[in-house]
Amino acid sequence: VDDFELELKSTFIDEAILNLEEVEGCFMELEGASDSKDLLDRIFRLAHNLKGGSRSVGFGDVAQFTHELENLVLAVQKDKVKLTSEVISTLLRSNDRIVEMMHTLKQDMNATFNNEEMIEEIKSWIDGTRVSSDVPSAKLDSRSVDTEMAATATPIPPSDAFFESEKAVVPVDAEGDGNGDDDEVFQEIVEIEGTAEGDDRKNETSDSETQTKLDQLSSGDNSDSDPAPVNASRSRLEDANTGTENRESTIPSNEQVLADVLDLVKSNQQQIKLDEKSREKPTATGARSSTLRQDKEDEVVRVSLSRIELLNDYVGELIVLQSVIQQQSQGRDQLKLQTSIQQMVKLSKEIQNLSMGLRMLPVKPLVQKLQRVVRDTATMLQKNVRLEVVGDQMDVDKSVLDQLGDPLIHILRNAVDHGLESTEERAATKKNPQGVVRLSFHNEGNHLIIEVVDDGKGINADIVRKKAIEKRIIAAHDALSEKQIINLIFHAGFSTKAVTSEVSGRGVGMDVVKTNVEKIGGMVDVSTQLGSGSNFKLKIPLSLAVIEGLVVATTRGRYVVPLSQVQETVNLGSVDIQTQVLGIGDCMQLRGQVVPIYRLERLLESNRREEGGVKDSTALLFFVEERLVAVSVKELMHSQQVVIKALNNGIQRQKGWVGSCVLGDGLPTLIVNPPELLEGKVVGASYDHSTQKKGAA
Amino acid sequence: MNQNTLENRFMEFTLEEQFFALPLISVKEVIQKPDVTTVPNMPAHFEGMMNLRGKIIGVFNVRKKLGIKRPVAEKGQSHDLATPQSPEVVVVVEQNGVSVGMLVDEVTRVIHATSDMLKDAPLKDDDATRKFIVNVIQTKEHMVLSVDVSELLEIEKYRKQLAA
Repeated sequence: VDDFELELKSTFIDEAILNLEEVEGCFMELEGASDSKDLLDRIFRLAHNLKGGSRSVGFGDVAQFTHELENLVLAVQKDKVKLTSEVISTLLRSNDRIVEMMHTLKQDMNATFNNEEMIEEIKSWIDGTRVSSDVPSAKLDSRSVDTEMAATATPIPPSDAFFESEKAVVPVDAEGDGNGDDDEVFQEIVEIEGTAEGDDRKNETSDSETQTKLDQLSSGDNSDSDPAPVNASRSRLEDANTGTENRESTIPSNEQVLADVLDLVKSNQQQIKLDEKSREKPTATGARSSTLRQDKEDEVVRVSLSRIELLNDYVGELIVLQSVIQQQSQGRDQLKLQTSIQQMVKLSKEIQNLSMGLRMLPVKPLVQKLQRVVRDTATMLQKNVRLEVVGDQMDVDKSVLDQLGDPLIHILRNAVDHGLESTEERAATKKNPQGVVRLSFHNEGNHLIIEVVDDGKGINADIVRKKAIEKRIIAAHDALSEKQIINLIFHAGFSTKAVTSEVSGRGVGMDVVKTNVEKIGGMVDVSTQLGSGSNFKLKIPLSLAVIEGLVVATTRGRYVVPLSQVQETVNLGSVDIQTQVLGIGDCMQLRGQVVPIYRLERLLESNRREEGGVKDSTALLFFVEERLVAVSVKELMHSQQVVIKALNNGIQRQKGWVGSCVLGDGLPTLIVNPPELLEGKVVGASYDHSTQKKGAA
Repeated sequence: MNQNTLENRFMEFTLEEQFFALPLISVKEVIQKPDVTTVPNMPAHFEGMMNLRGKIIGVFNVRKKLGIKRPVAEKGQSHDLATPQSPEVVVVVEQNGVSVGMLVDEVTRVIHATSDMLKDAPLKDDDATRKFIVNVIQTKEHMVLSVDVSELLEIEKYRKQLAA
């Protein structure tokens, strides 16, 4: 029975944490939502579930707290308490408190909590002793500021902002009928990037479509007599709603089941019944909890039942096909066998896609967290900030998603803190007093592109340069392009407190951003326009399991290089090569730039001295710490998708090794990342080198 | 005494006609030597990596690790450690979640060792192979050196890597 209860408790906690994320999202949407009724209903339902669940598994403190919270939501629902931004702040903090309790309980099931203060605050709202307008500010935490301020800090952009932005808005679904439902139209739009990499042709062809869609939208607007501003959030809300409903329909609410079971047990006190129940209890929950107990660190992912059923179907089909092939292989009909094998190839591809899809999680919960970060930072700094979120309907591999949180929080905080000017400054420069930070997600091939764009003051390259020289990151005579200078903010030595105050702050912990992003095989790029803002662009692989790889041959065997890292390839027979220059070995002239050449086999085996020139080999160009560097290989073989396998079994992992993979001939091959192999080997040399070259010229 | 538990069974294998054994419980499978890919920057006893049904595992050349030299074969080729003459097989050892391949000449049999068959290894203290050899199994036919696979294949090092 002890085990049973433990299982119930840990399942409850997992469920609760998921629910709480949803609740937080609801609270965030409450602000600025024109119609809060549905939202409040949802919050109430979730709070009620939580209360019932926590009471039945014996978390009394949580139950008491959620009870008070439920009362407050009820009061708001009944219009007894006016929903102001201060009330929302209280709700948000209560939510935080519950999350905190859940995490503590996860570690220690017997933990108790003292929530007196928080409960007092909640009660004071309900009984009316606290009123929004004349609350003593000392009693509030920094997040609760006046209503107007907080309301403008919400992440919900009015619909107009979408069309005023420079980006082209293109409908995906041409069937949008413009029936006046703006929400629907919003759900149908995606953005085409207007950046340098944007495909001009694509933009042109899509312009007309855009126009039609815009027309539809505006006509829809006219027919809509409701004068209330159209909130993009409403479409998000609807999405969230359908999302929840889907989940609920596919997976029965474990929490509810648990609560019911426990209630039954506790009221009847019938031991026999308990045993019966525990045996026929939902098996899914049982299985999950038992793995959880074996290894506490094992994480839980929610997967819809339909996906699992589909996977099961496919695997079943595979088994059938396998026996078919087995039989056919004994016969003489080669053609039939080949067809079956073809079928099997298709099927296994489907299965691979599906099984990888199990790891894919929506970015939405992360976005909610980020909205909160921006809101909190903005209120704390008394800045008027609006966060626009575009394209948050994406799914990303769980391990990627886990690594994305910190860098994004960092970048967003930086954007609000140092990127955007204070309201007065903005007024002085005739900018809209409300700063805008835009967070956008979109796909580019196998990559997820995340951009954080602010309309602040931009990064001053001169100051960055000065600081970098001061910090001895670069030498005074180094000739760097502006882009190279700006990218110095990611340098580890650049981030110190002293720098923050003087260099418009950019660079606080930015090296962390770069490190984290590169850890998952991504890249960071920053571009900035003095006076009008900065753009942080993260390029992240959608999955860590499969990458596009370039298979290369060296004199010492084959290797795979992640294609995403390769800038270009150059046939060394066709360029001007200088040997033994300046003690760094071979160099080549490429478009007026001197690029050092390293041999891949030398990078991998430092003690190896390869004789002979690099003339008839091919070079892959990489950026290493903003420097263009060439790595030569004997031959480029082909590019293909490879499944990354961990190097764990009896192979000592080394720096720059990504993992291994099996190529078409069944042989394992190392996947190496040349920029990482070159780390620390090239920078000093190339900085010196470039200046000496330029000096000589 | 029950002589048929897995614990007192050993798998016997040969290296240059010398007999060795390792606990059967740590053997996952024995396969013909597959094609291996050489890996840069590795110690000499590291043969390469192989693909075991989609799992990439390292293969150790135990002969080199134990410093067993080939008998003089042909002129000018004495002490050639590299080219094998007898058929080679890979014993896949699994311990503490780590799988490592072990390249040996031949797998000969399974020994049921009773406690009276186990003897101390007659090795000098300064023998380099001493730490790899646990004891000697005295069978009817010949002496068999029982090896410590964890030590021999550096299992602990890879277990830590796996955990990291």
